[in-house]
Amino acid sequence: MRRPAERKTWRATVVLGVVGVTLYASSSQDARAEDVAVPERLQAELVAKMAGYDRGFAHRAGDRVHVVIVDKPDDPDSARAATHLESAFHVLPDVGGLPHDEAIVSWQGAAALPELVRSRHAAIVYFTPGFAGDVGEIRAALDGVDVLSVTAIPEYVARGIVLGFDVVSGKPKLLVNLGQARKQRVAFMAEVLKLARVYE
Amino acid sequence: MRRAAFSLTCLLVPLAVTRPARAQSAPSDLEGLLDQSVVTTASKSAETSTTAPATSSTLTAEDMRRYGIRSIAEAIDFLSLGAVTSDPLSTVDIGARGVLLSGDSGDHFLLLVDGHAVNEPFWGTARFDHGAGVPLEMVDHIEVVLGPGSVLYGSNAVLGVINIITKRAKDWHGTHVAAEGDAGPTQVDSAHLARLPDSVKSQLDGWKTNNHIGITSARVMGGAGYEFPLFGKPAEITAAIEYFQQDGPAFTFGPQYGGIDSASGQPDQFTRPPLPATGWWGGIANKDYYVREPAGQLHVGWGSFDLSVHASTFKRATPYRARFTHEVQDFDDPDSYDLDRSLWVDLKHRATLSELAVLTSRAYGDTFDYQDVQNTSLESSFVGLQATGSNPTVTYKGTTASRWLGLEEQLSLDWLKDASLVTLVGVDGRVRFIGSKFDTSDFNTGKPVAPSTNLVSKYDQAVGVYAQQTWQPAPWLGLNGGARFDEETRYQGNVSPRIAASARAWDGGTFKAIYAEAFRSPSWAETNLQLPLQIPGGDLQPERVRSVEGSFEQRLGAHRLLFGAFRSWWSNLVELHALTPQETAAAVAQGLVSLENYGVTQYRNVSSIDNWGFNASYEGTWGALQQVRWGAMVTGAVAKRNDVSAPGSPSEPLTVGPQVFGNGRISYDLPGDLPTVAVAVHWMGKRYADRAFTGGWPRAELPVAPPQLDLRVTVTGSVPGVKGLSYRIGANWALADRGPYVVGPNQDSGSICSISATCGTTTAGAPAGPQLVPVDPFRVMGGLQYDLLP
Repeated sequence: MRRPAERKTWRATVVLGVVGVTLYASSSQDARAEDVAVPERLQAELVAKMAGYDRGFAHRAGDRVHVVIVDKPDDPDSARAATHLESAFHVLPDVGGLPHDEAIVSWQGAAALPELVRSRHAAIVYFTPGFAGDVGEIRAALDGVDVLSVTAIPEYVARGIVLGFDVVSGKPKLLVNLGQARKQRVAFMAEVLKLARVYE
Repeated sequence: MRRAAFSLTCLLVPLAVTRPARAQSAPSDLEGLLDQSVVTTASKSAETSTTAPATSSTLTAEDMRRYGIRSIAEAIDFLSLGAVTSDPLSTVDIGARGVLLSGDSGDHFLLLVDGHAVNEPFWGTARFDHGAGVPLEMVDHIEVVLGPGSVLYGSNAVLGVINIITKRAKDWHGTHVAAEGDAGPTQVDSAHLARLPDSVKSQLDGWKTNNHIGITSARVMGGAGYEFPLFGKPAEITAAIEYFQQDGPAFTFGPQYGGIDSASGQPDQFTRPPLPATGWWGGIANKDYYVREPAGQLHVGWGSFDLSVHASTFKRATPYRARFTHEVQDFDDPDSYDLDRSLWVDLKHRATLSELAVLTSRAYGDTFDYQDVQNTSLESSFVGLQATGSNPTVTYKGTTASRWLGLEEQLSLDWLKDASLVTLVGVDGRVRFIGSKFDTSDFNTGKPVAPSTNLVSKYDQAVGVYAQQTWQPAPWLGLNGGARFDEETRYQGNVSPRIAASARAWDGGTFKAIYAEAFRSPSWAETNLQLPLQIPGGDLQPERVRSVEGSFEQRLGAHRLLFGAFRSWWSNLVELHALTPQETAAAVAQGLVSLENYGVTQYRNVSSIDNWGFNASYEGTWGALQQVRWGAMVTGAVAKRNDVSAPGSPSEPLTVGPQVFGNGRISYDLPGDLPTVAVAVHWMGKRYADRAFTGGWPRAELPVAPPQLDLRVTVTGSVPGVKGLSYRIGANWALADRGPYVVGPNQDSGSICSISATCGTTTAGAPAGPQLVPVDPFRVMGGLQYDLLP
């Protein structure tokens, strides 16, 4: 049993340590984190379900669904989200009723996206956090490309990613950019659009 | 328990006989996923409630508006699972799963606002009604987590944790204003005054009825949410201020005859002079049931920083006196009141150090003041004090203050980088100041009539270190284990472990098992407060609770069914203990009380509670647009209190808290621009009154509040032709007219004066037996909200 003086010293040491770490941590980062609010496991399940309600999905995917997860080099938030998503997809029995595989691909620029989708026969391309400055280019690059683009960052959907997720009042919410969906030949059934927040 | 079983049957039957209406339609599986709650409180990380290491319910902003909810307490009562509040016409008591400790200032439930712990250390106070001071329009959702939660949060999380999550700018974009109010009868005739003989009426102040329809409360709110770049980084601001005012309704109390004042030799003076001393307490209290609550809440996000600021005051008057609340205040005195003042700041920073590690830092500072002001004209309440005038009145003012600064560091380590094996470690340290004083002054002149007493001024430190390990060895299995070590100046270390497992047995079916412990650090009021009739508690041990529970949840399309059973063991409960004559003599010898004082009390670790029961819920939606929504929750629990200071004494049920309670709701979104119609009920079984086992009542005549059913109908919709303007109207009925609190000076069987001659000749017609707090039976509400979108 510690004596009172020792206890006081111990607590003071802990408090000072916490102060030091706080100061270090607050000076080590200067970019606002893009919070991934919907757990990755639930995101993957939602994508797998939503794919089944995309009229063009079976044709796009063929016999097997290839999911490409794009991350941003040197962005730890992006890398974390990518690996979490990959493992979340991995345990799903199917995506849109089809067998599937996943791959993490580093961002090579928007211009490389169409070729990436074609070369990997990707039916779904998933954008992790870290693309706030690139969404406009991504939207333009994927115009006319037959692929379902997905993100966990709600703001990206309004700016051109087809499908995204948010948490509203503690419940997951689907976000759909309908205009971009048409351009990427994604045709969600009307029933599911009623459950989503739709951007034109 | 038979009623509980019946209730459960009622709850289950609809699921059994109702085919999952959406099961055949395309998006029912999607609806099921979208109806899952994403919670963050139970393990300090985002996860679905199904797999979280606790039983929880999520109260959404949409449901709060839909069902006419106007406070956190109402949201808990009408929408949550397992938690319940009780209103003594002051600030509400809160309990869960059959355990409600009345008058505890909410210190057995940890209240968080955006993760910031609100409970202050002097009383452990957290308010769950308007005193929470968070504008309801700014609330995104409320997570109600049941069971011990000290593993991550330390003290106070014994009944559970309630986390109020405020809206971010993206969800509350634009400028918003709202105004709403309650109306109804301005007077609740609950004391049968009309039946009294004129000889008694004439001695009561203001017995004549003046009932009419009027507004009894009003609230205005203004707020905004905007996103913008600031110094090259994205930023957002969300803020709201509100003012709530309630006046009435007036309640009728009594009449209770107090007898002859031992100090003056005259009948008791319960009213303010120059009204005569009649010995009678009661009449119409139309001036001292009010609330004034200005409050504001701010959130600013910039870069990796999140700043939250809260400010509120909560002034309220309680229209009666009772043994432990407002013991001496004059009848219908608007100058006797309670006042909270709260201000806190919380700055959070999140840094992703690598794929493996995320560091969250938090600095916070809080200040909380509390004032209890009571004016008394009863001479025996101020014996020896030199109050002025021929009709003196004395003001007692207790003031307490808590201030604390804290820092928390939390490191999350994702060992396999796939969220399957995550370690969370954290340390939370704070320094605190606790102060109090007790002033006595002449009400008429405002001058002190006695020196300030009970001068407490202490600094202390509190440190908590915690660790949590989550592991998902298989996609269907989740494990969570952790412990927290807390230490503060008044006691040595305290460990709060938790272990939980969730297993997905089949599609939509999840079993969960949890073992957890929690503690409540004795408040400084319990250890240090000294009053004329109370000596400091001194070396108290923390209250402890151990809990084990299991639950099963089944999702079927848009339907969700949950059933759980729990058992908990409470020990070291701190209660006011009435000193024996020998103990009183010892206290006098130590100079803690003066010789003439009688009925001296002291907080001690005196009791334990054995608690078990079940809770169940069923929620669902129907329609392509989920136009019909419903839900029902039921809790049945047994909670027995044992007085460990009196070995061999029989167990007693807990008072005030219901052993069977629940809620139900259904709403329908009418097509097109038509409104949404919603009906919600909240019900509680019979409840023993707070003085049931301490008032000396005969066993056959224990004061019991009848079962209560609150029924609320609400209509919400958009005002045609005015974009952004919406309305909410509704009505609330309470079927029982009494609550579980004994009111008035007659607090025990020995003090009851009825027709018996022992009280003198003026008692004819006075009712016998304890009088319970009246309940407002009917109120209508209406309001407008304008959302100006940019």
